[in-house]
Amino acid sequence: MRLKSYRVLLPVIMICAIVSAGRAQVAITFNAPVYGQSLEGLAFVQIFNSSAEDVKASVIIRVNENTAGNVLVATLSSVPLRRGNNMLDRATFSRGRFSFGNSYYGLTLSQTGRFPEGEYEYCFEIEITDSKSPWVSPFFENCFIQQLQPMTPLLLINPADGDESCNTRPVFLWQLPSPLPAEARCRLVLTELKDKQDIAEAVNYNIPVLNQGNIIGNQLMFPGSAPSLKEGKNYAWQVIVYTGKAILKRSEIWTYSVKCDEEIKPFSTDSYRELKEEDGNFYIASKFLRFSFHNPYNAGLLSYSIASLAGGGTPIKDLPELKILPGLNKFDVDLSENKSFKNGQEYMLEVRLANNRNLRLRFVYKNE
Amino acid sequence: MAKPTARNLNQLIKVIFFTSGFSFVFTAAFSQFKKTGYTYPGPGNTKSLFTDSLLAQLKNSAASFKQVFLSSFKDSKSQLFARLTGNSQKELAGITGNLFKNPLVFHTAAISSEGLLDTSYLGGKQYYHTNFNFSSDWSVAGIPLDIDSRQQSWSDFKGNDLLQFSFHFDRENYLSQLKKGLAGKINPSSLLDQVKNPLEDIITKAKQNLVTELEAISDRYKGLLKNEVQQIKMMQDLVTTDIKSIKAKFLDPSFVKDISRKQELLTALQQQINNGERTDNAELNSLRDEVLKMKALQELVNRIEHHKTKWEQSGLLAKIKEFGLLKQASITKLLNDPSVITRLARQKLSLSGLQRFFLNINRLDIGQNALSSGPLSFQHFLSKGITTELLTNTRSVVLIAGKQTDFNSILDFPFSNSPFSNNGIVKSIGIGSGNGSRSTTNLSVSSFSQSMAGLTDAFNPAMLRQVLVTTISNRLSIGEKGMMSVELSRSATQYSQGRNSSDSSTGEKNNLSRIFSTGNFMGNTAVSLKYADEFTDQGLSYHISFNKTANGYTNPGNSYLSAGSTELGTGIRKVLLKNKLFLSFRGNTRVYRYNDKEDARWVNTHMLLDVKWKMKKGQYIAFRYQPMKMLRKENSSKRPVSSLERIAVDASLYRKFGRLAYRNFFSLSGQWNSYSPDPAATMKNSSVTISSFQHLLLGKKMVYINMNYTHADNSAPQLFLNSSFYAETGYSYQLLKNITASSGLIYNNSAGWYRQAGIRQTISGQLGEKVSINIYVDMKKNLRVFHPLWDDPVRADMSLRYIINNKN
Repeated sequence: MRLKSYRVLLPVIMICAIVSAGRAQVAITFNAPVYGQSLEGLAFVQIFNSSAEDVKASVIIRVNENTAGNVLVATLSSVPLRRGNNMLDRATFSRGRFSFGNSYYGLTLSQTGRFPEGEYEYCFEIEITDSKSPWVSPFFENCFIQQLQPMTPLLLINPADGDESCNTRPVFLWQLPSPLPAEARCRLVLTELKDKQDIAEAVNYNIPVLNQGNIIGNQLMFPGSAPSLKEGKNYAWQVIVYTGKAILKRSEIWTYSVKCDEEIKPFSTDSYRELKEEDGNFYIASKFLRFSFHNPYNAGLLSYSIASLAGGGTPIKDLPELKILPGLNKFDVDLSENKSFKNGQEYMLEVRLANNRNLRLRFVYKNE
Repeated sequence: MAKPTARNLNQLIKVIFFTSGFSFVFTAAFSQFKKTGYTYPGPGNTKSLFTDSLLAQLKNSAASFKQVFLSSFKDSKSQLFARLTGNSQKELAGITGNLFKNPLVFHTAAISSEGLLDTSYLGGKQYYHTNFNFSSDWSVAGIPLDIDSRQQSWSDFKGNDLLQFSFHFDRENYLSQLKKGLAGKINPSSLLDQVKNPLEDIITKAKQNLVTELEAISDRYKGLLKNEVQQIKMMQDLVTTDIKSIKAKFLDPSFVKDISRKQELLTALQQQINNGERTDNAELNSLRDEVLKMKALQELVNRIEHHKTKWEQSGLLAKIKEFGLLKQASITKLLNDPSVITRLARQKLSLSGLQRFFLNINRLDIGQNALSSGPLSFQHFLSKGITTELLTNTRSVVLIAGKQTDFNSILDFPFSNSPFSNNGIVKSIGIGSGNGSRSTTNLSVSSFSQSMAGLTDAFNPAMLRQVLVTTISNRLSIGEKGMMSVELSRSATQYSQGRNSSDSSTGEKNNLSRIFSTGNFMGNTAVSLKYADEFTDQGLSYHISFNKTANGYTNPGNSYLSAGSTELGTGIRKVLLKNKLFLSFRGNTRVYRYNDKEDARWVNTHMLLDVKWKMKKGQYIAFRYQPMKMLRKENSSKRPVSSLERIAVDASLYRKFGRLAYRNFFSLSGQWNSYSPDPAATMKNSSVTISSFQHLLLGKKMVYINMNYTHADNSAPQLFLNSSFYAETGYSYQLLKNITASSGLIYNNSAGWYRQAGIRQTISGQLGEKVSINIYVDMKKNLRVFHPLWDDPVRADMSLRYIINNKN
């Protein structure tokens, strides 16, 4: 607390002195709750050069922890300060000299670039080194105290990762990080996940279905203006929490699929069983019976029947009409539409071609 | 009951010897029949003791049957390749035909432009975001390659388009081409010739027994059935062939009809003989023979049918069926195994040097690419550069060199001042061993040279620090589907102009010495353990995981890691009642302790319980309970920070009325939120949401009604936490041959903010073979605005895609 009162008073005295002199000054502001979390965040200190010229300065940043003392001393030379508002030039900052304290805090910061939880004092010392006009005092300093608690991750909750549902307008739910600046807002992005695409590519590259910013709180009802999600499509979604121009946290990326029917049409010819005149093998028809054969004859309606072997060869009624074409024919017959088919029972498909050629396929029907 | 003879025992020992993979089954069977005696199936006694003993063994341990089969299959793999390798005569044709005539072949390309007009991002003003994509498939010297590019643009950042290129070796396509090339050069079923059917002996005996009886019948009919019996003996699938097809073969309806006619003729001739009339003896004898043969054939078929019934009853056919399915599944698996395909291709195809080289390339991405190799190495890692993986028989090498940037999406451009940056150059090498075996080990060393590039200085060369990450991982298959993975990773960071005060006396340590330092081992270490297993027969799967990331650990390869966290998670899923009832539980506890020197931590627990009852036609009813709680523990005190509970019931219903199909997805959920940013303030919000999405389908026409109502007890004017009502009704129809459209009306109300009504129109479809189009427009009018609205009620999406095919 001693440090705090001293550091608060110092800039006030300096401002008063400079204003009374009516000369150029440098004002330093730093958003410690946001930018005090990381080493590179120190580069986002705001330095206001109220003089009439661009100058150069050397900047020393000292970070002390209340119990451990020195954590970091960063020394930057030849920092350009243009007239008006400046942030530290990133290249200059990267070329700075960093000396880490001999403590747990210093070591952790040096290894991860992040400040561990603690009470910190961030002091920025600026000395004007290159100026055409004289300054009353070429030295400026400002310090900022922050009880730093690194933020917990942003955790997604609902829809759960990999969820499949009929819901085409789901509600999105997540847990906010703690602690969170009051001005923080969330942004949710949801994009279609294309075939073989990585989820990170999807949320970064694809045109979003949802790109909702300014969310206060931890949920998003599916926006009324957005198109409903499409059945059979996969989606990837992510939430970020931000304040101003800074992203504070990114959540993981989760996937969500709209899936009402489990029927999946086959993709390749491998899924079709070729019919033969005698079939000694076994085929399992999971809801769909997929078969193929070569028809050397003319087009027309396919003459076929399916008999239940368990029912003593009783033919199944109400089979769909199938059209046959010359050449290779492939058929998908949805057996689940017909209640006569019983799960686990054996059936015989018989296809009758012209010239009395009969093709057969014995199969077991599965509907699980 | 006959005792086993020495000959029978010898045969059995021979079987055991030759089918070492099935030794378990046969040894068990042997010990069984040693106790109980053994007999071959005799006439009318196909359900023999031997069959009983073996089948009982198989029946009692279906899993072991599979295991025995699979282990045998695995053992035979090396023999298979040895056999294939023996064939030194290679095919001359290349996999892509005349390779050198067309070293560069264009296949397909697609150019698309996708656009979004919206207002719901930052600032609430209208913006337009587009992606211009070009994707194409090529073959370069027979190697399939995808070349893609993407240009992202955003009206808020005019002139700052983000352009990305990628070149990607399409290994899947390459393997597919190799498979096509191999078609006709190998017989897939021969791949498992080495695997002997464990039932073969029984099948042979059963068949022999039948044939013996059929020969006896043939003898009784004085050789009339000699040819037919011979044909039956030659039938490979006699035991499994359907009796109907056998009947059709030997008792063809036209043949039966003909014999019936001859029977009548024979009766008539006999009547003539009885009447003392003269008859043609030769004709009479011929007719007698034919009728007798018919009788003999009927007896033969009846005998086969009798045996088949017995085989069915004994369970033999069921086991043959099971073996057939297993064998078929294994052949499919084998033919889709990349290592098998590449090895066969090397043996059987005449490939160029480059094509042979690419057999060893598992991955080659140049330009913008994404990589996931493990949670402690790279996870959804986006970079621009080169990523490749080379394979040898049992080893793999992964090489990565590229640039990592914070701005992969143009929509991230407003966040140029983020305090956490991952910009930089990455170089990584990974070496794996045990490729394709049950245990694989990988070691990777990655170097990240990090800089602080912003939007305007994207090529900032000044390096801030260098992070070195070393990860060792092991994946071990346990049992049939169990998998354990362990990862251990350490990181070390060095600043280009940095020093630690602590190091000043001993000189600065470099990253490598920090990685191998044993002092404070866990200080810069991360550990990830996971075990997952699945028991398909029991419909059970589960996983357990443990992750710990030290405060001193950092890994730019996985930006989702949280330093200072410890996580314990578990999940279990059980399917009951013939795949109708699904129970699932997932839960985890995470502890975030961001200072090892202080007794302060965040503790988060989350659970997810799902119960789902599945019905036909995709119908289901599901219940979900999700509690989540976050506590802050400091020294001996603790306080709740946030809590959330959500309970939901979802139902999907489907009915068909003639040609009309009706579907309704209904959801009812309740949610209770509590958030305490500091001990003195607690914000609470609870809400109930009812949703119903109804569709009525008639052919390609559809009427839909979507409704969503949320009742929230929140009194604060917070747009996303208030009560709201959304209703939409519309009609989808065929506009042109390949173009569908839908038109809808919308009403939208957010309590305390706005009431809106509007229209929605979509058009999508194909214009000819090459052009596809999608347009979506949602326009609303504010009926009433309670607070100044940032949301301008207009949204539009459009995409246009043009496909170019190489018809050659």
